[in-house]
Amino acid sequence: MTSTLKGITLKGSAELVAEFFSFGINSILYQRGIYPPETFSRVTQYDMSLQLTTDTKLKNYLANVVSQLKEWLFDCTVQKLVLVITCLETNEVLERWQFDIACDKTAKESSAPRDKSIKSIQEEIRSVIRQITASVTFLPLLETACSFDLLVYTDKDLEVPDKWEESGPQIIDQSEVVRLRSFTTSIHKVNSMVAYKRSDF
Amino acid sequence: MDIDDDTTVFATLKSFKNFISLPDASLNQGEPAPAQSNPLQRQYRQRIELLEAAEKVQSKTQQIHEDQEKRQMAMSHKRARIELEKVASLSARDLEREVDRNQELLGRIRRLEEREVESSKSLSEQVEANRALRRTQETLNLRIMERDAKLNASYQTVSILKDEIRELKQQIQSKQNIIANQTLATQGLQEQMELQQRKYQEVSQRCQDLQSASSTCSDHELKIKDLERKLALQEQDVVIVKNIKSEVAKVPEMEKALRQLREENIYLRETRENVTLLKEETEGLRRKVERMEKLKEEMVTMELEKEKISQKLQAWENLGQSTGLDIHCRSVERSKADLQGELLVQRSKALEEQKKRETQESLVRRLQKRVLLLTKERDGMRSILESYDSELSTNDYTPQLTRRLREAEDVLSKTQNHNAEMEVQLTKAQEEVGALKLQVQTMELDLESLKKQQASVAEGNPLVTTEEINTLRLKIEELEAERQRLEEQNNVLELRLERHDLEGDYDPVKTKVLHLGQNPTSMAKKQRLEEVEALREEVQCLREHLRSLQTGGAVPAAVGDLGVTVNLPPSQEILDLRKQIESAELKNQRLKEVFQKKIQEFRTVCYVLTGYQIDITTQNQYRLTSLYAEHMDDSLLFKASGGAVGSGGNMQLMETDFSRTLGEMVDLHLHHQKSIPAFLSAVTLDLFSRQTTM
Repeated sequence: MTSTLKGITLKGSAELVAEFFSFGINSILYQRGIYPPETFSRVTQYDMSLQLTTDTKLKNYLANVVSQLKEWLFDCTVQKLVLVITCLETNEVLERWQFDIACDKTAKESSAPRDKSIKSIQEEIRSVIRQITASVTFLPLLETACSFDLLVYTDKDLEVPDKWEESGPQIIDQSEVVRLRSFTTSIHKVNSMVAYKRSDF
Repeated sequence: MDIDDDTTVFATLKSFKNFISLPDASLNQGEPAPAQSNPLQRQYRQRIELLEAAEKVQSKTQQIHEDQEKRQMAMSHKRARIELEKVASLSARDLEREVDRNQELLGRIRRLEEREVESSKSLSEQVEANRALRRTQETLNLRIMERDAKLNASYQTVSILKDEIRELKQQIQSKQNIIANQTLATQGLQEQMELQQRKYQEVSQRCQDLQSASSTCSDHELKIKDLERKLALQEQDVVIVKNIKSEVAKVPEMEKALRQLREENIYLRETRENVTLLKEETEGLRRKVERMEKLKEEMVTMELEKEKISQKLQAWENLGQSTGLDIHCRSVERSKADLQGELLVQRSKALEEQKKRETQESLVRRLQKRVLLLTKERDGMRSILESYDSELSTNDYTPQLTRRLREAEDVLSKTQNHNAEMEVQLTKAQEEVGALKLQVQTMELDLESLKKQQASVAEGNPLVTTEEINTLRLKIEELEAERQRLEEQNNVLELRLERHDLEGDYDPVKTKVLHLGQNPTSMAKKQRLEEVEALREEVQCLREHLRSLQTGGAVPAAVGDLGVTVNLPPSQEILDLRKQIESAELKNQRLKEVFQKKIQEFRTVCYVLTGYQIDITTQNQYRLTSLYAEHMDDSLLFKASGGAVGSGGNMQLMETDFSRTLGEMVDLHLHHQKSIPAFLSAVTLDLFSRQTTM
């Protein structure tokens, strides 16, 4: 839909960012081996081939989260999205993928579309996802069975929707943080970073 | 032909007759011959008569023949005539044809003749052409000849010319030599020429030098004259210069005077400005006084109000002493403070405006001064120029004048630059002074305000203000130090915050963390817990099952409380297996008993029958004790070597105490007879004999 419009509106930006999160989370789950690779199928997005899960339960969960996230992006009430990977045996947080979202609130008041080409946004998103894929080189192996959770940092006064509950930030103690690339749709700016538990050798 | 033949025949006849006639003659002549030959002559004559008769006959036949032949000849003549006529006709025709042919041939001949004629003509022409050609040939030949002659002549001439050329070349060479010689000579002459030219040039130069010298001399004379004139002028100029110098010497004094005047001017202006400032200040103060009077009036009214309000306050306080009506007084005080603040602000604004006005006025005055100076300079320059122009008209010393002018201009420009720099410095100094004045004024105002505040706050405590100032200063220093510390702490905390923000920390006041209740981690944890519980339950079940099995309770009912459905299927198998085991064990036992019995039976039978009790002590060693042994320990040891006994191994007797006593029997039965049964039976017999006897 955004491709037919000349500029980026708030709604279009929210959709782009939500789409990015959906594909980004799938890529992370595939790369880190949270789910077995045979449960993923290849799709083409942003001019590159990405992995998308075929597990129905996981799909439903992601769809729920991403749809709610889209609403919050439209309202500019979301501050961060965090993907937390915990080890099931020790209940320790091993990895933390954090996406900081900075929203330009002036876009809420004015409904004029911003001038930024979707191609350039897609290029930026592509480079971010490439970096996520390349992060495999420095992230420590996840040898134990792991599971993931999605946390959303929102404004304090936001009404908590149904089925959502408050949780802790699930911070890793003694972590190494690596900042990744960021991309901006001129309304939303997304900074990516990954924190992983320092492995003592 | 026949004609010819006829003719020939006639000819022959004639000849024959002739011949015959001759012999008649000869015969006639022969008559006188002797009558001897009369027989012969008669025969002869008979013969001749016969012959003549024959001849006559022959001639008649011949005549007949000839008549026949004549007829035939006539016939043939006729035939021949006919034939001849035919032939003649034919020949006539042939003739005609031949005539025609002749005519044709004649025509041809004519044509040929014509052709001949023509050819002859052509021939003749060609002959004539030939002749002409020959003539031309001849002429050409002649020409060729002539040309050959000419060629020859030319060759001759060529040779002559070549000779001449050679001669000429020789002449040329000789002439070239001559020329070379002459060139050498010319070169020498040229060198001489050059030398002479140089000399000439030198001479000319010397002449020129001399001339120049003379000219220079004349010039020098002129110059001397000029210099003398210049000297005179210079003496005059010196006088003028001295005057100017004196004037210029006056310049620094003038400058000093200028400076002093300027300073006086500045001072006067400042005083004027101060006067104006003071006037303005007075005006402002008057206005302020007016305002203050107004404020006083307002204050009075305010005080009246305040009194009223204080009365009200007291009334209120008297009423309850509950509500904070002090706020009213505080508001009044706040309004006072606000008014004072406004006063200060307005004063500062006024001061700034005054400062601006001052600067602008000073700029205007400076500009006016500059204009005056420039006009004065211009007038001075004009006067100088006019003086010089007047002087010029009398004397012609323009270059010196221009030089003087330039020098004067340079001096002027330098002085102007100096002036400009001084003015710039002046302006800077004035600005600084103005700024300092502003600061001083603001400070004075602050001081006044502070004094007023102090006067308003602490009336009659002038000594305390200084102490308060000191304490305030100390407080200010302490606060500044604290501020720095706080700034550093702030920086450190900001860094920490950033780090925490990277790690995922958040400000609980502004943000909260949400996640879906049904998220994969929680579900995975639940699953894990369920699995763990299920495993624990299984473990417990299995342990109890094990215990039950170990205690021997094969009945599954005892285990039923744990879950009968789980244990039933294995217990049936176990029962079957147990039954099998029991049956197998029973069989084993029975077999063992049977074997035991049988073995015992066999051994007793052997002992009884053979008289030896055979015991197996160790592998392949057998101890035999005789039935009739004297002592219990008397035994024979046999060892089976070479594998088992069943496979055919050799039995050997081992040394025992008893076997030593049986040495003879050993030698006899074992060594000689090599029979163990014989030995054994001998031993039994011997023992038996010993027993029975004893």
